[in-house]
Amino acid sequence: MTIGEFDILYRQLAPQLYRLAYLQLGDEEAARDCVQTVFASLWEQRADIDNATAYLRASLHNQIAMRYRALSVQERFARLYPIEIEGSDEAMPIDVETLREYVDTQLTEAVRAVVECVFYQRMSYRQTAEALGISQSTVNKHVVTALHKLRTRFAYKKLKI
Amino acid sequence: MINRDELIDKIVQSPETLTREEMSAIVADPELADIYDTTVSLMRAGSEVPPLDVEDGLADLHSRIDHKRRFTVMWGRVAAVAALCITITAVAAVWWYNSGRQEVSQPLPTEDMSGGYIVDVAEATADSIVVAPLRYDDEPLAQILADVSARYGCGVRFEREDIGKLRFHITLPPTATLADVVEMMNAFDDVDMHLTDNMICVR
Repeated sequence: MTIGEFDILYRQLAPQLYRLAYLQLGDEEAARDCVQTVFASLWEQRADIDNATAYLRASLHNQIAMRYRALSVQERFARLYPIEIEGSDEAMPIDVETLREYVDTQLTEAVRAVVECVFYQRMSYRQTAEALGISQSTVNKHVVTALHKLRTRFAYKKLKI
Repeated sequence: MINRDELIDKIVQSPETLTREEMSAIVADPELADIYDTTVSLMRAGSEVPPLDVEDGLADLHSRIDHKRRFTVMWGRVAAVAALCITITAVAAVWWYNSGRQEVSQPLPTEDMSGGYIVDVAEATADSIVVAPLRYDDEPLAQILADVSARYGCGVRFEREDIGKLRFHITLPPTATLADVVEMMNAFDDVDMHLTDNMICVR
């Protein structure tokens, strides 16, 4: 791999990997650092790597998992990170991109609208009810439905802390 | 006592306000932990991603790679210079050591046409090359002249074999030339020696 090819690969994949890291970590600086680290690692080991894209994704996954593992339970709560984590290499609590895709395609329009207000925009039940023109109990019902579907779909791992 | 339904509401609506006690309750309850994880993952999934400046990131990455390369090259050079210094020191030490030995083992005439016998310099003690006074207390002349031969690289020829057995007390200073040594030895009544063509002849 030449430096020119490396640059092209960076321009193609860095934004995508950065987005993934940011959604998992919720920290701009940490996400950027993860991306830079995996690309620097790719350059160092370029002679031994056949599939650069696969290598970058796997490395990023490990980088994020490593940062998760380094945090105590209290820190995870403080940063609003998931607290469940597996000990294996599949250590990410959940793939948020897949989760978002599921919300966009598999939930009903009414439930999705509530999810967007309550979880994405962090509105209260009262604000959501006013914004969507529904009662607070309906908002609560849709939240319960959404969480139930998502928990069933993304069957979580055993608790390991 | 924590109310479970109220805790679920708090997890969904304001997880950032959870108290330490409520966190412990969530961790201890797999279902609550599951709800918490789903909630925060949803919040994260809906968050806006700030833009990444690709060119800036690429420049930073190039800088990181170059820095590492420069670091490797610099330490490589330092190691090469250190190895060179060690080699030069070793070569100089070997050269210095060998130049000293060469002086000791300078060949002497091996054949005596006049029928006398020649001291074998190789039998002289190696210590005789040390630049220090040669001190003798009741030592045979043959031994004394063997050391002189080794120090000055000259030959020694005895006209009579028994003369080498005469014993002497003498100190030869390191600053003395070979001629001085011959002169000092001639001060004794029992010996008569002279220096010709780097060869000491003793009568």
